[in-house]
Amino acid sequence: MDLIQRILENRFSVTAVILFGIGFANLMLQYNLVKKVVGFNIMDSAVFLLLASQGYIEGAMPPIVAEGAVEATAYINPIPSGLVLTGIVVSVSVSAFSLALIQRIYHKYGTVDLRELVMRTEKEED
Amino acid sequence: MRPFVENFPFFSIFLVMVTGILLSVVRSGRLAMRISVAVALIAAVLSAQVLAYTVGGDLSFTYVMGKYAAPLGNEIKAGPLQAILALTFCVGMAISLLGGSRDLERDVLPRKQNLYFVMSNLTLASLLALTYTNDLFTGYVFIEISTIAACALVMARDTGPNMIATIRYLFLSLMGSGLFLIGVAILYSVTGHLLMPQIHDEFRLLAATGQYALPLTVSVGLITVGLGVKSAMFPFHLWLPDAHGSATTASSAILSGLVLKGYIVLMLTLMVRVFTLELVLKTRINDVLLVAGVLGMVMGSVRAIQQTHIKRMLAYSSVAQIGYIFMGFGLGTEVGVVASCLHILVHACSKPMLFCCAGKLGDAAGHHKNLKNLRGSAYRSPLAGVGFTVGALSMIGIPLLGGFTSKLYFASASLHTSDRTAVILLVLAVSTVLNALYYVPAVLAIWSPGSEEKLAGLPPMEPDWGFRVSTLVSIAAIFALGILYDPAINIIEAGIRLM
Amino acid sequence: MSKKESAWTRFAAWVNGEHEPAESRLFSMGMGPRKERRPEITLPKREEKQRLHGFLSWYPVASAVIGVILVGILLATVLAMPSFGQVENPTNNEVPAHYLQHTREETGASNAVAGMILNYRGFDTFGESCVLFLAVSCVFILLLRDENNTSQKDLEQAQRREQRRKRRQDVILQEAARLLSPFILLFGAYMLLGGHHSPGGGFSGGAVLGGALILYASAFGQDAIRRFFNEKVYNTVRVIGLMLYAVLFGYYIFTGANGLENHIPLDYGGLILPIDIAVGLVVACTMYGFYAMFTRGEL
Repeated sequence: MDLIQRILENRFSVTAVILFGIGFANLMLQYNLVKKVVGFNIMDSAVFLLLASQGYIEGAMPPIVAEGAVEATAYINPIPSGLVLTGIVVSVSVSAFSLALIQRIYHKYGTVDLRELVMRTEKEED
Repeated sequence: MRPFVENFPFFSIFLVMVTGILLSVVRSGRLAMRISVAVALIAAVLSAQVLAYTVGGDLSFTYVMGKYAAPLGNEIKAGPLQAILALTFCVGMAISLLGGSRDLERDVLPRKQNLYFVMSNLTLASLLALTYTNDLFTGYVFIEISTIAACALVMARDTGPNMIATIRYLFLSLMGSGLFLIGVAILYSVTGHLLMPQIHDEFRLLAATGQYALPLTVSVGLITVGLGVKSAMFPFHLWLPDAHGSATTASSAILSGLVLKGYIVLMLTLMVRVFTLELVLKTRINDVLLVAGVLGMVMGSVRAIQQTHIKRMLAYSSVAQIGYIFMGFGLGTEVGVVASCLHILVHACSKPMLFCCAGKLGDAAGHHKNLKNLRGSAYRSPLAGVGFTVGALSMIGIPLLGGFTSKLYFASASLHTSDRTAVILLVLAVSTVLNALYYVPAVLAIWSPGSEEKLAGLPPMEPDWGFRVSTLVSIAAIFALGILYDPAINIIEAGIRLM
Repeated sequence: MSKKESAWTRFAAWVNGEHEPAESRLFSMGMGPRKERRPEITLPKREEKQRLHGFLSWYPVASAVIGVILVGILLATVLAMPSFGQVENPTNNEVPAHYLQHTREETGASNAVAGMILNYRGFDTFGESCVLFLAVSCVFILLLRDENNTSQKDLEQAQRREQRRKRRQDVILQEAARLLSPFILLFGAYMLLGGHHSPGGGFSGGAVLGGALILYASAFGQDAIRRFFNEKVYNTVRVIGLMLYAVLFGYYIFTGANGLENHIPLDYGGLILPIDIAVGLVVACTMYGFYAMFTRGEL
């Protein structure tokens, strides 16, 4: 019972961790390069969910401060939101870069399967 | 008003970054190259000033990146160790660019050469920022800059195998940064801080009370493994030989000599400044590092022996040398960390030169990279032959050269541990023999007389002043670290103390 | 039983990317893969296959085991972590309290997130803008047309596609773009300029601006955009955006760290507003740069 209670209390973190596992497995196990990129995006989104859930305070407002003196606990924590913003920008950039690379590889070899690509480069090097 | 010299770390980071941004509108590749080398040298001079200032005053200082001090805003921290590492990185970058300039002009299309130097400058900026940073999240951002820029350096040559090597490198790197980021997220949610000194305080408090023990251990593990993946720790080194072997000469030199070190330096900073060596010893993470390092030392060398392609051989040798560094961390003592830092310096001086000389020897033999086709190439380019020989002997660990000093310090560091001395001394001996097994045949091959008719048809070598200067500087640095190693050791020890 | 099995095999085939759904025709875009360019795939020799087979057979097992172990460790970790949404969690310490209480008088922004990322932790955000700059430069290296990645045949193909597009102009898209583009641009500018006191800011506003450019380019063709936004303008805007950020924030760091007066007025968002504009320019250029490079390989 206690365990279920803990899981429900930390439901966002638990979801995030499971998503992280899914993304991580995709990044490692898929041989299709595009699916690897999808896996990487799932993995990063999971980390953002984990971070964003750490900043939330139940019943608090978004951190746009009204005029006059305020209680800090009336607003949610602004730091994780900023970190997530940074993380999203990085993940967009990396996705664009890897997709451009995959487009070039497909153009040259006509496949996005990593096994086939590795075999073909080994042939080319000999 | 603080002393003006304390601005120099910030100046060097911003100077290199701004140069990188501005080079994207420079049309001529040669001009971009000259600017990059000049800026790297200016940054080196600035770092040398910081080194003199911190060593002279035996101090380290924090520098607020903005108006509001920690725990509110970003900060950088500079001490003797950071300054000497920054100096090495700047000089190493200039050496790599100068030494590989000929290959670069051939391998990269003229229209895109300026973008290559954008990447090299941002790589250097990220290395400097990773060295100086006092903020965990700044570390993450600059890790990503370094990842993207390094991948771009690999693929700049734009051939098929090259792109596939890049994509493998990119995916493994992304896995590493994902692990690092989730480690940072967990660490942030239990300590509530992102700046290193504050995390350190909270960390010690939590370790004393035993609260959140599991999240703390797991986050230390994730951060270490994430950085380990990115710096080619043993089981994760599979991307390295392809990426370093197929890139253009300057890229291989930068990646092997410098980029890997950036992540290692961040790991070192975290271990010494944030987690502290005693607490890391308790989590047993250092045992993992020790095992990975020892395996890397042996397996990297074994794989290097099997290679016939000279650049792939050097790449596997990098895996082995990274193994030495992780072994030093794995000892978990201050002496071990000092030995690792010395090895970082030695490796950053010799590997770029080895790659540049290998590229030049390949040119001399008519664009071959295979060892049996390189026979006699040293006679056509004697300086490259001498440079390769000196670098190889240093990597093997011949006295009077830098590699010998660091191996000596590893050996003496192993005496400070109680139960592992015998194992480590044995592995050091074995790996020295293995190093000799692949470097000596390579040196013999380039100096043995080749077939006359094969080399006669080749055009004469053009004089390459950039390559000459860079090789002579590196040879001097290797001899300096091998003979006058006392000052370097003193600086590193002071740096660890003042971390 | 057999039905369930076939569903399972279909699912497995779908996961492996082998199964093509019947409705895929509906989703196929105008630019299918160029079949005729696909080079002959020569099958590797038997012994090479076997050597690689050894690696490929243990690799999935090992990585699956690693993945399961990783998820297990992380699950145990998050269950030991502070509970969701509680005020007394370690993250809600004096740092966010300071940001929330002093952001108005110290940064001039009432949006505490904007104040934090662009002022207190502005160096991180400068690095982040450089990541965008770097990504678009990498895409340039890869996809900008040159003799390595484009043959004569590719060029002819691209020209044919362009002519086909000109013959069959999409009226609905063009009218919609003509009608919507000004409003999207206005909304983007509003988000950009109001980022310091409302949700929005450089990143989101810049993305909306970039979206407007992409809509315009996809309706009227890139020639229409090139009239006012060619490669030269593009590079200038991108570099000016980042340099503005670097100069302003460099000045701020230099004065702040040395304890000098910085003379930056705090009305209208202080430092935040110009930096938001700089970031917005960079982000808009990045988004449009990705689109132009991926579709045509030139600006």
